[in-house]
Amino acid sequence: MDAETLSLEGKSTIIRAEELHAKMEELLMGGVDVSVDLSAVEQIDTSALQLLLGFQRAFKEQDRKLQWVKPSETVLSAVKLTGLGPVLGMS
Amino acid sequence: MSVDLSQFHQVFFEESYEGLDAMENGLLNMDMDDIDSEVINTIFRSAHSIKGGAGTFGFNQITGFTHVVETVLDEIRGGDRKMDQSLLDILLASVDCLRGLLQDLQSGDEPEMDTANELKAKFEAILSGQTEGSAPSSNGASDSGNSQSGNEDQNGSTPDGGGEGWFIRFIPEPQLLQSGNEPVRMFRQLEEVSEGKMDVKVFHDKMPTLSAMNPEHCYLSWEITIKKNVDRAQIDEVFEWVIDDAEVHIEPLVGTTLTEEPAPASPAEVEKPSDLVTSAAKEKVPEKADTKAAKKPPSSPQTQESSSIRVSIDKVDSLINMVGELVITQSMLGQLGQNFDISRIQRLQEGLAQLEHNTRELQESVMKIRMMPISFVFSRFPRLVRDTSRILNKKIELVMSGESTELDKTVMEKIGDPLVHLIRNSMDHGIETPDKRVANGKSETGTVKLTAYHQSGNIVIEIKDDGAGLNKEKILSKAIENGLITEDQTLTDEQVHDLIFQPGFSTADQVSDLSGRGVGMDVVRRNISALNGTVEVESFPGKGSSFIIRLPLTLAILDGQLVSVGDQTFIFPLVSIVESIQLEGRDLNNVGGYSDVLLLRDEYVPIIPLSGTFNLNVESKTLEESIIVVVETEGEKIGVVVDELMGQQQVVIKSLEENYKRIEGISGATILGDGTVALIIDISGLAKMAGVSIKHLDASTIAA
Repeated sequence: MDAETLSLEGKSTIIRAEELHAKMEELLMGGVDVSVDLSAVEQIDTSALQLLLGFQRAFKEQDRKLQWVKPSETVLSAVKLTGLGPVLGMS
Repeated sequence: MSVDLSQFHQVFFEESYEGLDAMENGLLNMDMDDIDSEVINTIFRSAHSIKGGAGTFGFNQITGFTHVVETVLDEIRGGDRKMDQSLLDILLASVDCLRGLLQDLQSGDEPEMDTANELKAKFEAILSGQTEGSAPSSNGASDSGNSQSGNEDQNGSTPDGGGEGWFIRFIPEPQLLQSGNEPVRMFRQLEEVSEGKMDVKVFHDKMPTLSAMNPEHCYLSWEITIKKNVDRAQIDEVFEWVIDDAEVHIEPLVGTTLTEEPAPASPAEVEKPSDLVTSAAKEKVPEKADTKAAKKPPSSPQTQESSSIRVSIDKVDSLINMVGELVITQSMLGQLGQNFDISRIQRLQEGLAQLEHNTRELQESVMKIRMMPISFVFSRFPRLVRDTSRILNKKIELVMSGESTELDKTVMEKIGDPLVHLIRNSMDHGIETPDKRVANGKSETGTVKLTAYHQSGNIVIEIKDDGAGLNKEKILSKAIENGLITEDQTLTDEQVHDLIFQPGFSTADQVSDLSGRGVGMDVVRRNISALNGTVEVESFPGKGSSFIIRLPLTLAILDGQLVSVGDQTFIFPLVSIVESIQLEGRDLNNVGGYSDVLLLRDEYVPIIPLSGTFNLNVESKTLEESIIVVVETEGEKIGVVVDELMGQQQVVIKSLEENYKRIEGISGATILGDGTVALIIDISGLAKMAGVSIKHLDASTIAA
């Protein structure tokens, strides 16, 4: 298996940030490329956006591939508002 | 936010005035060489609360001005700046200025910003290290390179900038997200405000690696540029709730300077000495507004003054408690009445006694609600004395005691001005100049003592100075000059002292700003009389003089003497009664053209028949049969003829003006135990009606 998918769904906010963080760390250990499915995100906040950024950076450091899959409108709008669009490569 | 904030305005104003009083007090009590951290913290907190409140309500003029004041205070607090006399003066001037701005806003006027801008320029000059008087630095120019910019800006610096837009640096503390604040939401709000004309630049260089991250911490910071001329208040509103958890710098957008701004400092580096205070003050504003809002229906700004009263929750609780007891007693009585027979009469009596007890307690508690410590009035005097003694070039110390003495709010509001007058009078006329004092073997510094205490149902306020005392000769010669008395009259000390209360009287050689225009003491006495109070003077030549004011504790209840004339009952205020006598063979003179006068211990007292004055139909009694109630008003004694003295009792004053119309000679009415209405006599009004005045009755006339 050479790729895994991380799916964020519903409310991806600070309440579930610990959970998301743990999942990300696990995937980071896995050593394979990851697609992050953002299509079903209904709400996202700064904590989650930060984690996405940290996740992406960690992959870059390890020269591994990470890709965003179908970010929902909510995600795109939050990314734009926080000025993270260019940083995350999402627009 | 669609809440109508205007309903909270009154609360804001009241709290701000209180805050200003606290600042003023703190500043006046400050020992400049050894600043007490508690004092400076109090001052700072007050300023901060005012700023916060003003920000919430969009009073940007206040926010902007208070901000610089706060910055200076913060430096003093941190020990970075030394307090000196000139700084103290500017700070005091700022307190006055803020008070003025608040008053303007309260009455719905556009605030007069001239003084504020002047002071602000001074502060900015001080902040940028220049000496006072040199050209003020332009707005914000000194901020960017300044080493203090870390703790500089929490809520903004300019009130009315933003012509081109705003530049905001937003550096959250790590815990920002945990306190429920969400940048995404805030930025959305900003986007709405700016109608999309917003650029957001994110800084993520402080973010650790994924595994080192605390997922609930905020590692990002932002620079936001709003390219639209929006109201500063709208931006403040967005950041209102995060100023405890973030550094927020808001600057008006000017040209291209933005690009040179250094990247925002990391949250960890940012020093936040005012954190505690900020949160304390922040909590205070909305919370208080909530609890008080319900009590206060919005009305026009002019009439709002004094329309509310702050009551401690204890007092309210005890009221509720008593109402509860009253209800129990009432239901007990109700049950008793349902199948009543004569055998239960004792229980009925017990119940009624209980009811009376409850009612009295309730009445007392309700009265207490209106009672406030007199410190509300006293608190402005230290400032008054400080400023006045400077103008007069005298050294004067104010000593106050009994500040916690309580009195009715209505009385309190009306006693302020007379007290100011009397204190000024003591400072101007009473206390001598330092060299004169030294020459007389006194200490250089004069003392004005202000004391309040309760005495037999009255509140007594004394203003005592250790100055020269009243100058009897000077008063006499002035009085003769003004035609108040004639040269050949001999007056007792008391009568001489009384002259200073005559209209148009002044002994000052020079009319000063302060006193000496001869308007004052007569007004003082009139105001005090209007409150059913009295004022007396005592003077000891070379040692000082004292003014003693006696006031009823409340205007709602009066200790009255019931008298009857014909079939009518009238009430005299007990305070004004000197004595009551039966005439029986006393000296009664009829002075040509005037009413009868009675010689009472070497004093001539004019006599007014109450029946005649109010045109009552009574069987005429001879004066000898009648009783004369000798009352005192405005320093004059008059004897009022009545048929009979009845009991004394406390009466609840009902306004005649509100329920009927104003009647001369009557100050109000009350309802007696048997349900009849009794009128309360207004002594001074009665004297005027009867056309009696001691001035017509000097010794020479009577002797003739």
